[in-house]
Amino acid sequence: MIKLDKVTKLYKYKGFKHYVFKDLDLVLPTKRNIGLLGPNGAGKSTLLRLISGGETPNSGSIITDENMSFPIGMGQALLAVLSARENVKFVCRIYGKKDKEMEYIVNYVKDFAEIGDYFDQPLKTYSSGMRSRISFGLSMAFDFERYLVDETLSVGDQTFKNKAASVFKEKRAKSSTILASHSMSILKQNCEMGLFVNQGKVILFEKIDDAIDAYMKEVVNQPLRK
Amino acid sequence: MNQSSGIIVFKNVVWALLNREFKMRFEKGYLSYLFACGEVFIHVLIWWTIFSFMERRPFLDMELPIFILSGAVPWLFFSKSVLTNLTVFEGTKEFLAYKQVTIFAACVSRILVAVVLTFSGFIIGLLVFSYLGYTYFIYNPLIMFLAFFMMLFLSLGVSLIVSIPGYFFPDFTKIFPNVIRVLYFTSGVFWDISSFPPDIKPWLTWNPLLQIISLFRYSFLQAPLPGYINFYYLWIIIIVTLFLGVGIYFCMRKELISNARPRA
Repeated sequence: MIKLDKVTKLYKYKGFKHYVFKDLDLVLPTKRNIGLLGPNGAGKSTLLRLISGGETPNSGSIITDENMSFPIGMGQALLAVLSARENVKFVCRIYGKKDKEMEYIVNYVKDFAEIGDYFDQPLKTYSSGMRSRISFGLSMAFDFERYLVDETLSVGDQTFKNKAASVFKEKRAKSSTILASHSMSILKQNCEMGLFVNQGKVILFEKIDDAIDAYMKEVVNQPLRK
Repeated sequence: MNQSSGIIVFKNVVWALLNREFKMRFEKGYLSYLFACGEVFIHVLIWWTIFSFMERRPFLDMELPIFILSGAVPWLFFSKSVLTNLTVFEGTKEFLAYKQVTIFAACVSRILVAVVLTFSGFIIGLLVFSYLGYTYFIYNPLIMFLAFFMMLFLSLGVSLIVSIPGYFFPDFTKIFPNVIRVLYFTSGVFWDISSFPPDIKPWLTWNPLLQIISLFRYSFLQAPLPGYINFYYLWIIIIVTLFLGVGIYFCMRKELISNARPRA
């Protein structure tokens, strides 16, 4: 279970305060796959980072008993001047992996990403698709109870999308996910519940279709075609 | 998370950051390692050349290069630690997306890098001067270790204190190196306090860096420690600095990390 209790999150810039969430109360059930949807800038990525523990709320608290992944995004949490190999090793060291485990994870990510010699080149030479491959492969190499995925499934070429979907399906057999995406088909394929984020409001729907419907009505301004 | 697993996570993070710091600094090849370790040695060479031209008499009955080396090592350790931690938030914020990574761990890892670099340079310097025929002996290694640990804790405290304004006020990162420059000339790095007029001496001895550098230096001498080294004063300064640093960090960390995390 993930419980957000009166969570307020804001960003300050040159004296201006931009509130993302104000006194947000939310309970997300265990072992349910939740689709996160909302327009750009609504706070989907911020919510994922708050839940992951990588970012702290300005006030309120987030309580969870689940082993949460780091947010799986476009590779922003990777260092551009280091190679993919070094970045993977860095994350392995943070998670206390020993030499053999580290070697296994490095090989797993290398095989998953299929970027050839680029694996040993600095990340600054990568395209965004290549970064996503590394970021996604890296997170899939670790076992978490809950995966927090930010858009990654909908980027890259078709081969990568298929591969990512297949690995992700395997992982979901043992764990659950919170998946942020603008692709309604990906959300429908992977999630049962829906979390709609818009203008500081966060509404949890028991069925993903209802969340998509709310999104279509409020954001896209057209009803869901079932 | 219990206390022991917290310590293990902290150790893992420091180890990961330490590896990353070395990779970042020395990705361009082995010569960078040599240059970083040789910085202490280059420092000694510069002052040695200047003093040789000035025909300066040796200080404290020590060989001149050993005298300068014994001042440069603790000084460079302190200045490197503090200056690199001045921008610790900027340098680490990518990794704050991992909940295990903390600014405190990043500060510690940067100080450990300074330890490795300056003390590798120290050993290289001692070996080179020994090869060149200069005689020296570490009569009091315990005093040397004590001076090292004092400098380590002082560096950590000062690093934590300066990292906060370093984040909130970008201009501070430009002004603070000037303070370090002033301290460099007033901390006895390349001179001994005995060479100053008696009416200035008492003022200079208030500088804890001068006392710690003298302590480190006196490990090379058989002479008793000079009267101006006051252990009570040093420990009080170190403890107050550490408390202040850790206190400011814990009070401000929420404010810092809630706004400093990268937007993924």
